[in-house]
Amino acid sequence: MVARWVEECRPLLPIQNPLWAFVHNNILLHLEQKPFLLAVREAAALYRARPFESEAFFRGQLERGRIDRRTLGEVLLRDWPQDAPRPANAEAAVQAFLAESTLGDDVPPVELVPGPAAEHLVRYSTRDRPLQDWLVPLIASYLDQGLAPWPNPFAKEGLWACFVATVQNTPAMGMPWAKELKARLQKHLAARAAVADVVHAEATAYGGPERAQDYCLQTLFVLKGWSGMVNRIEQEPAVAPGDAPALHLQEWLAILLVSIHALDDHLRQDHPSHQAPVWSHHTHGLGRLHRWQQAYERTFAGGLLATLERDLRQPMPAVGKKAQLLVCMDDREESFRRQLERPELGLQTFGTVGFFGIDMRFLALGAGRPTRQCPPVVEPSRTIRELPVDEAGREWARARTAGQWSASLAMMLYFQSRTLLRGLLVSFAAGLLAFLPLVFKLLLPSRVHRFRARLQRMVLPRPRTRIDIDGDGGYSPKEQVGLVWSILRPCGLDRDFAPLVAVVSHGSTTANNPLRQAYGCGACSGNPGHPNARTFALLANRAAVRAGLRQRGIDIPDTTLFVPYHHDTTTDQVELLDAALVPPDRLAAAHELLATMQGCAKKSAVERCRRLLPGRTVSAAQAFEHVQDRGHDLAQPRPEYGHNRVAACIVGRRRCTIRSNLDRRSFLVSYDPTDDPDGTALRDAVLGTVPVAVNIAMDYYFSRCDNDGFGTGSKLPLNVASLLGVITGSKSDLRIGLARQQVELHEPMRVLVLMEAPRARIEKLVFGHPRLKRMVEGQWMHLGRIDPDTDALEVFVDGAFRPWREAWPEFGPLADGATAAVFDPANDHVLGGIA
Amino acid sequence: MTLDRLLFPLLAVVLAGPALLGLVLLAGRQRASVWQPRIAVLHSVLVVAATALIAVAWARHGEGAFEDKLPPVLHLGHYQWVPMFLVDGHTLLYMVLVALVYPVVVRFSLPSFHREPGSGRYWFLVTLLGASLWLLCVAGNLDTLFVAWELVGVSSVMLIGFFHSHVRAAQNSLRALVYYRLGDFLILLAAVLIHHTFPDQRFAGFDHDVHSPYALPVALALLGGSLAKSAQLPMSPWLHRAMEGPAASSAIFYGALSVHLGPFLLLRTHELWLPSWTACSLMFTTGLSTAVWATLVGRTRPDAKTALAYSTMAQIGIMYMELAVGLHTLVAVHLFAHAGLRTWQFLRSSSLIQDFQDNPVFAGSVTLQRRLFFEHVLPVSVQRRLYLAAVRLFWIDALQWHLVARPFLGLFRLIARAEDAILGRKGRGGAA
Repeated sequence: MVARWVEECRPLLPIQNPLWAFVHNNILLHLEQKPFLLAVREAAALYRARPFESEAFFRGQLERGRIDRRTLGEVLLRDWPQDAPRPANAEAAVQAFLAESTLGDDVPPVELVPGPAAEHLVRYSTRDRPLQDWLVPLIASYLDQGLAPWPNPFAKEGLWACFVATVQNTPAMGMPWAKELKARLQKHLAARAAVADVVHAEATAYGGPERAQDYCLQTLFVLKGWSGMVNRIEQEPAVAPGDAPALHLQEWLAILLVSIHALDDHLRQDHPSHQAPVWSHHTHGLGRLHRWQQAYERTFAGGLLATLERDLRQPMPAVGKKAQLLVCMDDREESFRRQLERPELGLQTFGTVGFFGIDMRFLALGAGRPTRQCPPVVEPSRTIRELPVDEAGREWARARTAGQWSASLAMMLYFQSRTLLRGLLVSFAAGLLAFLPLVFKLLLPSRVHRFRARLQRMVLPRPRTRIDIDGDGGYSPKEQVGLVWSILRPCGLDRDFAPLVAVVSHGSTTANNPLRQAYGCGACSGNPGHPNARTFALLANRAAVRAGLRQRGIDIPDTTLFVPYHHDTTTDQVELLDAALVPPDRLAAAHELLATMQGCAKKSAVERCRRLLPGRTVSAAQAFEHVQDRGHDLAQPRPEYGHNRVAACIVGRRRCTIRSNLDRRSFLVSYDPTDDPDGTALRDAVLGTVPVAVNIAMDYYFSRCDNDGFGTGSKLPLNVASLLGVITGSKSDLRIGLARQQVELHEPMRVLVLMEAPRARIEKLVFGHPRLKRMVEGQWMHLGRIDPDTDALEVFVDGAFRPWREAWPEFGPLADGATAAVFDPANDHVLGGIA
Repeated sequence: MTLDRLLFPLLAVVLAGPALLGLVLLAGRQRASVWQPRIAVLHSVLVVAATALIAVAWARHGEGAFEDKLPPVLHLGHYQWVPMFLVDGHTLLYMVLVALVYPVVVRFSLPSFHREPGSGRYWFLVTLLGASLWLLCVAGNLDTLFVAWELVGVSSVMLIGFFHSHVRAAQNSLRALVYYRLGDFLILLAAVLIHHTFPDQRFAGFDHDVHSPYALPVALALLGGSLAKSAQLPMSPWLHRAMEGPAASSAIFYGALSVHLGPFLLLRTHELWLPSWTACSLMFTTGLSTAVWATLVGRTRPDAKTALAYSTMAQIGIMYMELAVGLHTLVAVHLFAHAGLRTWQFLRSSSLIQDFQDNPVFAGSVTLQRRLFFEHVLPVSVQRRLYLAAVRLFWIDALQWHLVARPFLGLFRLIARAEDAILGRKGRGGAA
């Protein structure tokens, strides 16, 4: 019975990984089978968080035109509450809606199982602090992966044993409610109750036999971050950075129940009854907020579609063939690609998933553990190693020794500086030296970095490396062909090859950032994608692979060369990778392309600076210097804005979007619909990308809507705990989601997916795939399409594709040269309203 | 320029920074302005410049300590509150430390407090800290020092509670305030004793005052008063709670400038207590017990910031021991170096996940590194009990609550009830 309760609770807990394996996820992944509105209603009660932006926010957006008044009216009329008198027209509906602040409240609030756990979920109160004081040190030191020098001696025996020993070891005066806690625990111990019996007894005492499972779930959500982490590590111990201790969610549940009830005994000895119904006030007014949200999203969609419609009528600019670039679909690369495709440069870009199909773990040279180089939805099939080209060479021997030494030194400084006598020695030895980095690294972040890098290149040059693709556990020749085919075919880079094809990965340089993985390449699980770009280029240049591709219909001329590059989305630095593998006669061309790309990245930095430095005009050189500093600055909580404001995902040929400035708001996946009658290429293009886009959009969505409940809060008081995550201040629940500074410019919206494909092909794909079907029908994303032949735009409304102007008649045409309100930086809204 | 012509103008300039920012806040400007951080930056640059000028002038002054005073600010019967000033080696030591750490932290705060609600308050409080530390360095008698000491405490408490929306932050800042007040009470006591009994009330005159029969009580009051700021036993449990504030303020207060004020005060007044065996042995015992206790507790801390708080506390315990045995140059170097190390570690405390992740030896031998400690000679059952006790700080929090705070609260409640009874009111504190 209890085991079943626990299993039922598991999928509903927060699913966040330890931060160094952070991946973007729809945090309500396991509620996706329900429609969006119902799922967020359920989550709001448990997470004590508001699942939509606030009424005040939406009213502000209406005032500044970011929510179209007519759209709001249409949305209201479509779904007008039954008990209210129906207004005559859209404007009257808006007026009634604005005047009557409860209009549209047709989603009932959630009733919690009454009891002490529910009290914790309703509001933060005096009972949270003693509970956290008691439980956070217990669970944090039990889960600790290596921060504390003294490891928990109970790690092998289990959490419950640790709890029992802690309670028994606590003197009666050791805690204000020690007496109640000891008594409650002693009762169970005296009855020789197993952990399951403890859970059963405690949960049924408050939840009754019928609602005991719900009560357990509520109890786990009292410390949701820690509960989620216990569950995550128990389910997948490999995700823990160090040695995972023995864990059972059931034990943690028992500890929570006993502690919460003991605390309750202590706090309300006078009135023990918990019969009154408890309403989660975060679930009040959701029906109304959902209507606002729909209007908000529809206004964006209208603005995007109007822009595309106008721009699709413009003449198509000449697309050059000097070089082709295969870039990640990431919205952050949109401005970069726009710069690259200026007609005078003669370049063509394609968007694909940034792991380039290489589903590997990658063990970099000198690294202690492999990194996961594929999206969270893909399980890595193998581990690929990086090896020195000259394994016996002096350079590698020296680099290896130096690497080991410096790593050991860093570890030693960490642990020893925190001890007593050795700490004394470290203070004397390193304390005065610490002033050097203290002053210089803070005053001149990127210059110090460049100086160090140059010094390192001089003293300890990194040995040349190769990727061991054919070694044990590598890819077979047939798989190699398949990998390259699976990227080139769907994105339409299967003919008319340019002499140079750049494979451009991306990553992000940030300093002093516990959430670093959230800034990296989402398709590489937050890691930089350069191993994948190198591997892909390596494969695509092989004669054997090309022969295999030729058989499958892709003919890459011998004159075409694939070259890997890496773009840093924070510092906007572009690098040429594996330059040693480029034939000498092509090196000049590769470097020329590098220079062009670097120039475009600088221009893209200027565009980023519009939001990073609002109100300042900067030159390309200044912008570049500025973004460099951001990446290396220890103090900088906003190294870059990540996926802020992302709201669309366009799957289609670049010709659909190349004439538009999408303001870094859209994922751009290349897909060529012309020769894909059975839709397999569409399938390949969509399945690897759209779920990732939804995950990223939803992750940002929730963290932005209620940054305290679904997100991490401000970065300033964060404190790394147990090496797994962050807490706020000295003790708190383990935080989930993204930090406020990370999402402050985001516009919380479900993503609009546009596919350039015939109607039947899209329907076959979407409704033949369980998760896509769920996401479309449950409104976790919006769907639309671009007709490949006529350029007509359609949206999927009420179960069918309809021409968008017919479905949403309120939008007028967009004038030439005008910017839609949804792309206008003047409409940026900073979280908290502090500009 | 000589010191007597430099000191007061510089002091005025340094104090003007927080005064200006405070006025801006008082004027009710709730929204952050671009000028507040700029004033703070300017202020930190001025602190550096003022320190440099003082250092040069003092070097040219040449003959030991320099003293000066202002006319009395307050007359009350025969009590006179005279601001006195002193520049000597210890002044310079701490002043240079302030001039190194304070601007760095201001620079660190610039991007991190960008768009942070309440950043105006932060800029005021951090400049207040910078200015009051500068004043504290040049204070020439306990009365002057006490003013600065209080201001440091105020800014510390207000910054622990910086995040108004966190209930825990507010509660913890209250805890820190209670410990600070207890310490301040002792320092005030020392000041009163000095006034009533010492022939010479200047720090520089303490080598004569030491023969007074009240030298020992004053010395003990100063020792006791210094414990709270430096979080030495039994005044320790607030320090880990102080980690609620932003990382920048944790670094400047509890890594460097505020937490080392205990040893500084004792260095300043060492003529008074050094000859007393009682004072020295008490100091040594306090330092030793804090060092051992904080090390044990700190070793079990699984989070970045409170672990640093405990290791800081332990090193300061060692400083108390060094002071007690008269190794004062060593203390000076230790203090300086330690402050630099901890500031760096606090500012970088968010890097730990990144650091461990990128470290190739972490995967292999971290367990080995972790086991290099002395507990392993103990029997397993003792080890476990010790571990569990250390995780719970040896229950010092609750014991202080039960044995000290609760009796006090009980007493107050009794008094309140008696008052109600006398005034004929119903219920505690109810309206009349």
